[in-house]
Amino acid sequence: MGEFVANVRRQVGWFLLLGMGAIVLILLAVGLQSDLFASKFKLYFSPPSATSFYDGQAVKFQGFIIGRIKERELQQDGRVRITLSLLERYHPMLHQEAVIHLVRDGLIGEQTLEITAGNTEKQVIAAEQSLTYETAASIEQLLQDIKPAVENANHLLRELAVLATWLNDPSSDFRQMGTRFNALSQDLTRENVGKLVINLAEILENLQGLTQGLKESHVGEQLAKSLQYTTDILADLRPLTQQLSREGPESLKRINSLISHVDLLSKSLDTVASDLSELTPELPGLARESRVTIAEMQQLLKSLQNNWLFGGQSKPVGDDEQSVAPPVLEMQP
Amino acid sequence: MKHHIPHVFRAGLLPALLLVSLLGACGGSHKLSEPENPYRIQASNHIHNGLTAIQYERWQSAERSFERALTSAQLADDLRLVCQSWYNLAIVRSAQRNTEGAITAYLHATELAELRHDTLMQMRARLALALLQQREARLPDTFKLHQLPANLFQTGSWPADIHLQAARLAQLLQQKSLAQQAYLAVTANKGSDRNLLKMKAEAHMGFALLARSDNSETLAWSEAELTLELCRKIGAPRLTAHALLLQGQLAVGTDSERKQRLERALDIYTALKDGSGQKQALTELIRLSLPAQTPALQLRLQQLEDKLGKQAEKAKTLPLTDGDH
Repeated sequence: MGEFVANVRRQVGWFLLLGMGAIVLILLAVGLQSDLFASKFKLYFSPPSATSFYDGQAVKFQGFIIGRIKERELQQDGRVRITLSLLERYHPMLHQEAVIHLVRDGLIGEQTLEITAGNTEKQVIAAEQSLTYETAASIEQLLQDIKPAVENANHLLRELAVLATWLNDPSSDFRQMGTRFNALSQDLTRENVGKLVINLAEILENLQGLTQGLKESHVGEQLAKSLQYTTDILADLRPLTQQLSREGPESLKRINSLISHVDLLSKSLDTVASDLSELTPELPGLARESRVTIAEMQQLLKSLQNNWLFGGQSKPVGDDEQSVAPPVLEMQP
Repeated sequence: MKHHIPHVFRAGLLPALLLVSLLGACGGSHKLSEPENPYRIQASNHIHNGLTAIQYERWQSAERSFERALTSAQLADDLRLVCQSWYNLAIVRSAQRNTEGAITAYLHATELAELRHDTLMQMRARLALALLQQREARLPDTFKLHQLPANLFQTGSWPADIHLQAARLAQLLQQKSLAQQAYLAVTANKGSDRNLLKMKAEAHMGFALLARSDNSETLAWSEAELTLELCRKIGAPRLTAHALLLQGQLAVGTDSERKQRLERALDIYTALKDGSGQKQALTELIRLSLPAQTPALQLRLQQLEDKLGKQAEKAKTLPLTDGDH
């Protein structure tokens, strides 16, 4: 009996010991995995405000988490001091002149701190040293940057509206085109005409695609709306095409007016493409393609401007004056 | 698909017909598409964005746009655009009180303009730099107005912005008759471009300031009125406030009319967070107000002076950060 009890005690003892050992092992493994026991060093930085920072916020280097915010303090002189606790094994990668700034993974999302390597030709940054904090462009600034893009899209819309009105005007010279059409197009091959038709048809397709893409990405809703209107205006031009196929060019006295319209249209598309390239890198290709097609039309019109058929050249606009900032004078009395 | 192809062709028919007819008119010898330098397009677009930002006094945004324009112009190796970008950057930096940065940019612009034998840009940069140096009391003693071409002060010889800069410089250097002639050259320009109207408004303001210094207060009032008229057309709040403040300072209208103008100026300066303008408008208002109203205005002036004092102290002790611009 005594032996049986002793056996049971031994078994229970082993059971308890193994259980406790397993718990300790798990704790050790988790600790090692989460760098709980890893050697760390401290760095400081002083942002203008502690807003956007919180304890435990990740600090990244080249996209890898190398530490976290340990503490935020408001010092007696009113300045904010933030203590970073970083893993010692990354210490040799950080050099003097390293800077820290807030970054956002996407347009919207959690902000993390990103530290730069600094000047690799200089010494490794010392522990407990203060880093320079740099502010990155905030969402507010990004939104401010979107504003001109929206304005440009509206400008594009206005120009298209003017062009559409003029083209649809029954007294427009353009509407009276006709008799010379065949004589003038002798040098064109059928293949070239086919290519032109396909290229120009893509304007509509591209603008529709661009609008859809913007809607899906929820970026610049107003811009998307403007482009939707633009597409609608282009679609309104379709009925005119049927009449034109019956009529044709009679005279093009107002060619300079058309040239300026197409010029403006082209510039507007350039601007929209450029603005978009900064907002959504994958979308501007569509706008750019439309622009290239319009550029072809513009090029043809410009060469036409010098043609004897339409007599004379319009005076070019002083380009420098339009792209030079006006003086900012201080006129306070 | 059956629906798609005719739709596409119909949509493209109009421009295609236009192209075909125009191509025919060119004798068919025209080459369809030549390669375009995308960096040049980018630079022009950034310049356009920067100019839009300047209209709203969004200096940081304008500076970013012009910096991008400069990089794109350099990548395109287009010296004309590089020169324009440097000049535009200089204008913005000067407005931001970044004197050293502005001087560097003006020197770059001048150097490139000389290289390209671009006399207009050269003159623009030279006058703008002189105005900046004058503001900072760093105008070299060797600088003399008569070294500049005499036709800067005659109508129609240069673009309006160059005449305007020459006029302002002459005014600041106490050359009143030259300033008057150059301002006249600005106002003689015809056109409805926003920038031109703004420059004409500034020229009328210049006339008003010149008239006041000659004690012709009625003329100063009417010139300020012309400034206001143009400002209302284009939307130039700071210049509007200056014109209203000037009218408030002139002993032309009745006291209540002047007070009302000063209050309007004060409202605009407050909205623009222009401390020095607010201070001037408040001081004038106190001078014109009845004794019963002065304590409230004086308290407001005191608070403003405290705030301005603190800001000046802060600017001395702390280095300039992004948020301070």
